[in-house]
Amino acid sequence: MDSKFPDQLFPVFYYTGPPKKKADCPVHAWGLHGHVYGNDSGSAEVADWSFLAQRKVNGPTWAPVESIVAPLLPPKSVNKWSSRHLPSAMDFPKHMQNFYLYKSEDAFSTMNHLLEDHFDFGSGELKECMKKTTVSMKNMERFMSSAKFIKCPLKPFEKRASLYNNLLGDVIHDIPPGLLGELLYEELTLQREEKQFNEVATGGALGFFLISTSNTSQEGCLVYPRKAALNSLNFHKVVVEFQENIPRPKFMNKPINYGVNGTIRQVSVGPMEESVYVGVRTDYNCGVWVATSAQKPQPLDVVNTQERATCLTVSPHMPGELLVASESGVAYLWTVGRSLQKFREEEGNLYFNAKSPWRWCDFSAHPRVMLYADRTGLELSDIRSKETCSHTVFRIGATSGCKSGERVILSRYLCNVNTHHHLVTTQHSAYIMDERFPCLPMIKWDHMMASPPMFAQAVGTASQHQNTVILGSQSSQELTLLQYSGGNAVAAQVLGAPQKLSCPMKSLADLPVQIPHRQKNVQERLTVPAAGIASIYYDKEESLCVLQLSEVGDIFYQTLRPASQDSLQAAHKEMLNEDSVTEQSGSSPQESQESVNNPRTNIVSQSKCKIVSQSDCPPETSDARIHGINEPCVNMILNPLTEQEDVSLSKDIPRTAKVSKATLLKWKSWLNVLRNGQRSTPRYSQLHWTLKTKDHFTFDGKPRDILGKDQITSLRNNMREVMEKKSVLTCGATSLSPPEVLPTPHPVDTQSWGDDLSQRLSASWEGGWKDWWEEKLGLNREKRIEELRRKRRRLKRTRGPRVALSGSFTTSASYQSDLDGWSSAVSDFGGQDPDLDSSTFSGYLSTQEDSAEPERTGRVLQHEPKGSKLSSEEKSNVTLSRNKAKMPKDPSQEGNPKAPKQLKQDYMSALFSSQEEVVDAGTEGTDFFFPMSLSSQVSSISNSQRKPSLGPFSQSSQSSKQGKKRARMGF
Amino acid sequence: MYATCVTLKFTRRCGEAARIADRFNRTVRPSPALGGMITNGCMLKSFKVTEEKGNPLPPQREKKPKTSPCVLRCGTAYGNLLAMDDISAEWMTSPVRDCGSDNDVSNDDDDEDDEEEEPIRKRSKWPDLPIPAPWYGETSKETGFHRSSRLCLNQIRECLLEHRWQEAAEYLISYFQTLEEISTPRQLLATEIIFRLGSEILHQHPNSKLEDVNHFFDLMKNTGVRGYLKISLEHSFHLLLTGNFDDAVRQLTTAESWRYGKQSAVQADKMKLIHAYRGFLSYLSWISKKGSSSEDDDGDVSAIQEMHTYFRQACISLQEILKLPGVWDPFVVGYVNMLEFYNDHEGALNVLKEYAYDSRFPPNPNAHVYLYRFLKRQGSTEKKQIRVLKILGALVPSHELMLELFSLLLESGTEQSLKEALDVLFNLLDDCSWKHSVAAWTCFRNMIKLLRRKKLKHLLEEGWETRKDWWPAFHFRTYHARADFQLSRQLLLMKVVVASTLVGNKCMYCRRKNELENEREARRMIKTHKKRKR
Repeated sequence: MDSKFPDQLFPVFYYTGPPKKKADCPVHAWGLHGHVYGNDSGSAEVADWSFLAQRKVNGPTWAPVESIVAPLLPPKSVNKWSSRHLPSAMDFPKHMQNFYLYKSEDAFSTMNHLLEDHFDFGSGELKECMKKTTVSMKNMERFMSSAKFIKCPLKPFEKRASLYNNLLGDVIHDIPPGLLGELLYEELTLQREEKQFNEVATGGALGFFLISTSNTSQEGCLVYPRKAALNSLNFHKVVVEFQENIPRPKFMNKPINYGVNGTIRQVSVGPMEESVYVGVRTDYNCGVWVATSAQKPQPLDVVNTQERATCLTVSPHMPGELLVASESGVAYLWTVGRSLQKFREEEGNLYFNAKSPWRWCDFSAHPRVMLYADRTGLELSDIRSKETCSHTVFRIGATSGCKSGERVILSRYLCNVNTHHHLVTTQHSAYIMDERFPCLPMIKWDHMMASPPMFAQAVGTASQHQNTVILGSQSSQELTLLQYSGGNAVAAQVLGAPQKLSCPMKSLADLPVQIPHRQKNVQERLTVPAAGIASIYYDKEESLCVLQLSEVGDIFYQTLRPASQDSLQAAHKEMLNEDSVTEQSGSSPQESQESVNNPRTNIVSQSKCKIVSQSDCPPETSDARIHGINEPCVNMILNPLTEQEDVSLSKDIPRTAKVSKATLLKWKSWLNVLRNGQRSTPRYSQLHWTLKTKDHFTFDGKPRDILGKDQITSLRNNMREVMEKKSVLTCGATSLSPPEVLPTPHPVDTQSWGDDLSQRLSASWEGGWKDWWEEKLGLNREKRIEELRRKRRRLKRTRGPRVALSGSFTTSASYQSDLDGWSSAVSDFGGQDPDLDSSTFSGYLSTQEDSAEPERTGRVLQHEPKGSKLSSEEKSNVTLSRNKAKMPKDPSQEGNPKAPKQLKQDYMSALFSSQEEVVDAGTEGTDFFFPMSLSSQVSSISNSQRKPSLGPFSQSSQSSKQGKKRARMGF
Repeated sequence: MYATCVTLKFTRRCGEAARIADRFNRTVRPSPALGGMITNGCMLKSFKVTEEKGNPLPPQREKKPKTSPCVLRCGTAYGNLLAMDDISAEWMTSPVRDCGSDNDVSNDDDDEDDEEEEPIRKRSKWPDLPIPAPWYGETSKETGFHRSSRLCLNQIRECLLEHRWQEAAEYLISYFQTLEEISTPRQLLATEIIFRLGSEILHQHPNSKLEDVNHFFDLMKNTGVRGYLKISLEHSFHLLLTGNFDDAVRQLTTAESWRYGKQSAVQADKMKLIHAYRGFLSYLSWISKKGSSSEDDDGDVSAIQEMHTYFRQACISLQEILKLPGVWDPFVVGYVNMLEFYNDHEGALNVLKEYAYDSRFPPNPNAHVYLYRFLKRQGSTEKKQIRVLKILGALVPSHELMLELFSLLLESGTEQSLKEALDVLFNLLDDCSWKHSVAAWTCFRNMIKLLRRKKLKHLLEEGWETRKDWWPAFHFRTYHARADFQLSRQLLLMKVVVASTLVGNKCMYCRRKNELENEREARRMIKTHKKRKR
């Protein structure tokens, strides 16, 4: 019963005045209940009361049957469709330049004719009297030819050009450049604004009326514009049929079309009674057609408006009545067959000066009271009385909680939902107004759309408890579904959160990928702004089909069905399962450890993230991708998190990419038609210069590919498999023979060159030329012995109770020796290790050398010193690296008293092994190499000293094992 | 010193973010390991922010350097160009200014942002519409932290708009990092966003439990003082809707006693609402007490005492809110109900009159309905009732109480009142919601009969004069006859009487009615004939 008014309304403050709120981050659609009142139904128990929230968070929802839209019609080849590129107003000099360069006839023709006699083109003799007043054209031609260069056309003739400019600058232009520039600037600005928001399309140029309904199908008629300029009106029979329980609209027969003089901006369809009236608005004309279920549509009447028409509405109450509004601010009642009857005229805007000529009008519950609207608000005006008698329904202000800068975009009388309700949309919100209680909105949604909603459809569903409103925007193609209930016996209530439906722009991501240039073409075609929406509601099986028209005449549709409780529960169950999976993977520490250590997992997870973001929102793709790559450190740290997200995200992916085969086939044929259509009419003629290379290169025609056809196909298959797995294609996975492995060249054996010169050169190659000479001449010997002694003394002094501890530290450090031996080697020495182990010193010295010659460290060299006791195989295995320059030693050795003689020998060996190799301790443990300090030079002294030094070495390495054990126990 | 302060601040916020994230985690994904992870993430981010602090963002956008656009050599044009450049720069960038994320969230400060602040346009023919700038778009100078939080918010929005709650929840866990914002407006914005998104997800997520929601609300309440009242109110609503009456009362009581420095206008209004709802809940408690005490008649004194306490509590709060302009239907009903119970009829009448006739209040039809019902209950004179209903009729001619007005007017019986009654009926049937109402058309039929009896048919003609050009098309087409017949035969018969009187016997509606009747008769004949044959 629409005649009832809610018994109680939700409490709300009544503010007056201009809007106070600022437009901030729009998350206001979510989170709040609004207000609440209780229904005390005579019960004494508090628990029995039911409370009603202004926003019921868990409303019934519609679920899309498929995740993408499907094309309804094959694409018409349109020669030119505008890309989404917005023209910049600051580009006008460029446009002027183009005009002067390429349309010089238009730019300068008047002056051209006047000056024609005074220029000599070299044709024929000049009369004597003319010679004085004529300019030769030879120079001018050169001048003009240079003007083809865009960079700086005037440069070579700067002086001459400026002289000409001084002379003729004021008169030579047909249109003064100042004026032209200004006009161009304005035009570009206008074009830019129109691309962002073109108000002439308000209302939408797509209409639908129902013809008949049966249990299995529903027949209706779709009214849509076609052809490149959208100037052909088509009436096309549509049947919605159930195929495999999915409702699909299908066109029947051929469309009936009528040519219209001008682009169709709006199609307004009345209710289907015995006949249906269809109003069509173009910029300056409005026409009306009448159709019945049996007869084909007939044109009835046309009117012409002086100013651009902005609105045309067909009456839901009376047959043959329409409302027309134009930019002059006049609104007319148009009864078919009679002339227009003016009922309202407003020079300015209703409530404040919004500087907008846009006007709108609509019907209301009373057939003689009309709604008159502009950007500032809505008013009801009674057309029976002569003087304007009106009252406000809605105005931009604090009363309805508007934000500053908010404007009315569209209003619609929701006759089929509730006879007293009007839908008003603005950039930020959508309102349901009840004309019985004006000013305060019954419902306010934040629709969360990026561009203002210009098209709206309302569907009252069979159960009558739930009304669905679909808003569509123009430039961003968005479709948002909102729901509400009540408004009759109980106060109107918002149901659930706004839901975004898929749009053609985003469907491309779910379609098979194409060749890049085609993909770009298709993308451009799919991002064309929307021009209207329509909805087909089928109450027998409760399904809703939403159709969307684009500015080039493509129609896409998607079907929605109520999300049943079962499906929701199933989704929930699925979610729980996924959760348990994630828990399992999370609970095993090994796995997570792996994922931290394994960089590849990380990469995979990143790439997964990328894919998700790609499929979710193409406009953000590049951002997301860059973001993903730029911050790997965050990913590394949050790795387990990303991992888990991946698992759970993967749950959403199949839901988002739910596309049936039939739809894919439809898309395939649509894309084919689009491509073929383009081939016949190329968008751009070939402007660029082409160079023929046919004669320059001879080609023998033999295939250059050495692989056979089978091999190539198998390779392709391999490649595809590998890409699916997201791994790397290795040679082993293919049928190809493994590539030949080239042997690495033998390392240079510098030791084999025994002569002094070679050794010196080798040493100087390593940077040790000076050392070599010092060694050779024995200059530094005294100094070093002295130094070592001093150090030894100092060590002795510091030897004390800390020894054991420091020893254990070094031991523990030795566990990490394979990670960083260098620093621990230094700390070993600085760590007051009292050990006289020659390796310590060698380590120390070699470290110093290393720091002096960093480039040496990575090199692998073999050496074979004379008199070495090491077996040749072991020596060949010796790898020198800085990491292993330190030898594990142990604190247990400190107790070993050594003979002074041996000590001295140790000194010597330590001293002279500084620039030669340290003997390997790997003799016992074959699994690890001993550190070596390298020297290309082997002195005779060191050779003689090496032998005794082996003793403590073997000893130390044995005891080091014991030491290790002990230290471990300590920790 | 400053550095330590900043660090301390961060650690506090990190803790906060982590706590909220933790709570969220438990709902969304019951894995204890993640809380720590998020904390780590926060620490990492906070480090980043500290770095940013070193060179804070310049608060003002720099104007674009003027590019000399001239390839042309014309002096006059050049001057114009530069002038235009200025203007264009001014208004092309202006939308960004009022939609940037730098804005204060809470709208608390009274800004004199008026319609006058429109960008300058050169010509009025241009479509003049402040299109909201993509607030989520990239800004020229944004740090990595802001960028990632912006991208994250976009993802959450996408998920919420497509009703993917689980995914949104996972993104939101990362979004908690924005609580570490250093600029106050941004932090407030972050709090607001997190509260909105978080509560939405918790409302919608299948795994969420009441205790999670409670905990989340409690945490958010103390994340910024400005949101305290709003969140408390919202929390109590949630508790009411989930059937926790006593908890809701407790919430409101706590919020009532909340004090924090100077209150902004929005906060003051919220406070008033909290008082009002507190009073309303007291009224509900009063009702339940009344019900229980009336059951056992003797009624012990303490119960009555308690009831009286509730009454006083409710009275004080509701009185206050009813002084402010607004729609307070539930409150008015409750207040009047209580006053009536305690026999304060005068007071109740005053409250209702104030509510209905105060010009500061919106034109609420319900206010008049309540007044009329009160008068009816009190058994006041018909004249008074008619007066109230007439005012209601002027506001809403299609209100269902107009039928009562009609019968009241009919009872008085004078010619004037009959005329008014006819007007009421005509107005009612003007409205398309009464088009198919049998009751209204029956009234009309009776009215016609009465007028015929009283020989006052000229009244009918007066009313018909303004409607004769459109009522036939609105009510009496052949299509209507068929539709009405399908709806109810009674309706068809009533309307035929009216149509034949107003339009004439030969109108399309009557003809169609006769056809339909004949068809019906024929069908019945065939049926009976068949039956007889059997």
